Amino acid sequence: MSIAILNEVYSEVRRLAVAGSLVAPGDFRIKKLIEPLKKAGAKAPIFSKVAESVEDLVNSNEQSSASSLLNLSSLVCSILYTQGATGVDGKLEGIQSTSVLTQRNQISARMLKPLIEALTSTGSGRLDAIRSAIDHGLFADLRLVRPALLAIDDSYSEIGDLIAERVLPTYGRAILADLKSAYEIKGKVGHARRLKLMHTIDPVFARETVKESLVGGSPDVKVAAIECLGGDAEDFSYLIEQSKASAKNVRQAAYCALCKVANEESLAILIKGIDGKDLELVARAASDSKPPELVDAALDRARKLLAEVPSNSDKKKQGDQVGRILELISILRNPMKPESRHFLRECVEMSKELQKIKSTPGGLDIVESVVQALASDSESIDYLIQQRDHLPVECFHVILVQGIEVLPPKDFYQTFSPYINRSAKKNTPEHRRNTIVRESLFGDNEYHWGRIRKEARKPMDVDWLNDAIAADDLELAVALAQPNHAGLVKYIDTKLTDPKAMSNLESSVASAMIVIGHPKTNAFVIEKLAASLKKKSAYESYPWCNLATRLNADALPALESLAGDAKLAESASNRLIDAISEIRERTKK
Amino acid sequence: MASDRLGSIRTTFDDARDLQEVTVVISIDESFVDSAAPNAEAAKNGRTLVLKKKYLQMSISGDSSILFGECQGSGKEPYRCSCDFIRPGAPTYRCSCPSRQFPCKHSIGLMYAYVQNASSFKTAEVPEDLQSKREKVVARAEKQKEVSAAPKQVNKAALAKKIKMQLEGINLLEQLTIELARIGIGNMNAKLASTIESRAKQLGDAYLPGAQNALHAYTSLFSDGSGKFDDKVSTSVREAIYSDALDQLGRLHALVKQGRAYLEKRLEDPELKPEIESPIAAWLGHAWQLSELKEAGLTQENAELLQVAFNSHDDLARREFVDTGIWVELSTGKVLTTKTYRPYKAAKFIKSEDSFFQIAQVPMLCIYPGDLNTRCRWEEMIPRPTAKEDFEKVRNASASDFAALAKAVKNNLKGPLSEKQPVCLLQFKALGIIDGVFVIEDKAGNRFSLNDRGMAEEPSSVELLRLVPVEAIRDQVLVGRFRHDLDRCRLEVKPLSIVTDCEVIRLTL
Repeated sequence: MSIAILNEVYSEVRRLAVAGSLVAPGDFRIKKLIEPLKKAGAKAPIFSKVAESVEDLVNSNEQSSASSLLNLSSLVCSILYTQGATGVDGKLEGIQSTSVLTQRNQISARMLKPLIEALTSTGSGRLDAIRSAIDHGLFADLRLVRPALLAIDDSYSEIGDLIAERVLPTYGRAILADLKSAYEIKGKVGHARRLKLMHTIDPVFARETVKESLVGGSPDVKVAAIECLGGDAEDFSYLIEQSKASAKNVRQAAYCALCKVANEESLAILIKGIDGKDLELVARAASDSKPPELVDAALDRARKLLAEVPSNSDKKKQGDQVGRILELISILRNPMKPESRHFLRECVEMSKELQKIKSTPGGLDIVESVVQALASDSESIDYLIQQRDHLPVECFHVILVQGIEVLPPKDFYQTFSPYINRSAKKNTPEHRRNTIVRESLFGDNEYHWGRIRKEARKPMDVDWLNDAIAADDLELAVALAQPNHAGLVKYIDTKLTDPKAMSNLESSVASAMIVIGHPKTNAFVIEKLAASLKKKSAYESYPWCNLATRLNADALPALESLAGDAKLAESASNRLIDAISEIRERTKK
Repeated sequence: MASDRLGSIRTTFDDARDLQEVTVVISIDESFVDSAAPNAEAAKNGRTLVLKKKYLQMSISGDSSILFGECQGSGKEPYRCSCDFIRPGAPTYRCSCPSRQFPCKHSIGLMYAYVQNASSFKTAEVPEDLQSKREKVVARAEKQKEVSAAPKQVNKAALAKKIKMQLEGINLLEQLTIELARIGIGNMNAKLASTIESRAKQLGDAYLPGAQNALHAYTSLFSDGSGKFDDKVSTSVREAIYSDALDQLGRLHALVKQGRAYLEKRLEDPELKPEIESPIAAWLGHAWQLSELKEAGLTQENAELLQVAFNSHDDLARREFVDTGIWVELSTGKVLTTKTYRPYKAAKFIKSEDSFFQIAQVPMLCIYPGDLNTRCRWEEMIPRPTAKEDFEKVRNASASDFAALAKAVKNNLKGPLSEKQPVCLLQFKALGIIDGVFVIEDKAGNRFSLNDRGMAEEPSSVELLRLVPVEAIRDQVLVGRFRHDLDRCRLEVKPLSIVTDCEVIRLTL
């Protein structure tokens, strides 16, 4: 059968269908196909049928053209459907299968589809879905390989990083070809991830690409390429070259790598960096590991600059010098050499003189920086605590944090309780010290201090609480609540009879009542909870639902009754059910 | 599947046919519960209930035929839920909660709890109220069988009235098709698309929902992913749309012709049953009842099906989500499909289907009229784990001669209302690459090229062939979807899965 003529008829039919059947009557292009079709019809009758149908279309009018066109199109398509070519000529090459998913897992469509969507779309909530899938081992499904490869460029960088660090490496060599083919040397962060991934999976495979990227890569890609370099001679020459790059982040990556290479040449480059405009970059690069000689050089420069600063009358230049001192001090940390410690303590001794330098940044910044550096040195904590009154109030916070960590509770109380000064005037150093100490005592109620207290894992001395009760400081007393403290039970009893005294502190009082096992706790919390549920805003009931989870089993009937209220919003009802379950679970144990 | 994750429930029930006592062992595992859930959200919520230990009581009957328990919910009283396997092929889920989803999250959670830790269920007497409900279910099933066995009465006058309205609808469809051909595919615009869409509603009013969908399928070719008319497409995409549009116009034209002939025949003879030799009745929108299929003899007893592919997509033309399962019936080797349509408005309340990894044992399989990949349905199904012999049966049912297969597929494609993208089983010698094109080859050296083009409803799969295990790319069975590309005049295959001697490696969903 002559397919060529049929294809020609199809093309013409398609053209007329696109233009509209009104142009079909008398169309000369399709008309000239009638004769060849008739000739072909002598051998295969189907062509005659097509010829008739074409003739019918050509001779049609405005009314009948559409029907004729559809008849012809149906006929031609039906024939062409039986004529589709199938074979593929040539030598069949085997597929280089690179399956490495030894623990293959085929997950259900219901799990797979949302995951593919999370990897290939935008919007919130995707990170959690992906994290959960990683934790449940769902990525061991080959259908997720391509979507995961696409997610490396995700606009939400946390997803790109997560995929590059935890998912793609598990596919191993199977994805190397894809990573390579999608890699763009001038690309952004997604391509930097590709390069690092190729290097992680197969450093030999990635070697040439790394080299090319060092020369012609975009800044993001160059940084990644530098991170892929090792300590051999060839790599070292690249590092030297990149330490002169024009892009700051490239130079910093090169300095980072040079800090890990212990040789004279690298040291010379780093020292040149701290003497020049790259001091800030070298200081950042040296935050983790650095050669000891670099610390010596930094100490030497810091001493000299510190001697010069007070005599400089140009405030701008003085500020620049102070800025350099701050960077140099940061190099002295982690680990702290005895010479560095000695220098920093000297700075503490002369803190009053240093504070007289009023440039921007100024002497006070030097003192704060020195205190922070010493706070990172375990051998200097006691020294810092001793110097607390000698140092400016701006450093008090750092010293107090160290006090919580290292001092026994009683010593901490004795050292810092004198700073509680309820009558101190605002904007005075006494008032600021009082505020800092008070905030530290709120512990779990305040995120920052709560974290510090948790890390230190130390309870506060009971005398803090006794002092607060004696001073009728309800806010502080409930924050410091301790079990079995008879004084606090009595103190709260007196406050319960005077609701005005508790304004804005009701939930803190309730929390303290739970801690001390106050007999009126359940009634108090349920009363407040019921009242908050009647309010329109869900925000009102949120803290009370949370508190309800900490009640004892006796509160269950009342809570169940509240949860069963048909008028209750679903979200509030769910929170109450969670609370009930939590109480049941806890009290069962 | 790990055997320790399997919870087995032994169920004794009276078989209605011979009243003989039959013992059935149902294997419940997490995938069973996943697939029983109406949607992913319900499954997730069910799991959460177990995690949060919301079940106050979990029991199992002495004969292990029912799970029942109490779950703390938002009400004052806990919800009483149960999963009744007295009819193993069609479990009954009950719950006192007000949810409109069946099974609800409480019943789903109860099954998850059983799968995860069967020993946490205490053997107990079935509560009286639950027992009486169970008896009613059995009685109702018996009654239903009697009713379905009785001949159905047809209201001839009403049927004639309906057919007349359908014929009027066919006339409207003809008008619209002619109008579209006259205006030209290239002159389609947003206003015209909107006019056609609004007139298509009249086809629904004329009892022709199938024809209405076919017309929507034409207009949706010109719309973007959100269903809006898209006039900013590239030239190559536009050309592909024109070819598909011409094909669809031909389909509408054929629907008018065949639909009219069929309806006129039925108008003349009201006793005439819906056509079973061709799929024209379904094309016009006839919703086949299982009883009709049974009456027409379109059934198969004791069928066993292995799902070899699954897809769930959003059909803009139908305004529905469509869940499609591709199954192989193991005794006949036929490739059948299951389809669940979930209209947007009711999607929340209709169970979405999921991929199924076990063998579905179906006592009575109902098969729709048609040739290739006919649709099938069942009322009752009992799952069982797959065995090596099942995969062997799939291999035996696959086509080892690609030349003969190509002929059969082409023969099917030429019918304007036939399935245009049929799925077949291809027993191949090797998968390989020629000039960058993936190719499948049989023992005689006949080949098809593998391509994702034009089949965007399923995720692309060809490139995944590089990632399948080495042993899967030689001497196995490929489940492939055929597509004829009219512009290039080529018949190509999209790989959906590879069936080896011990597993189905799914490449799409």
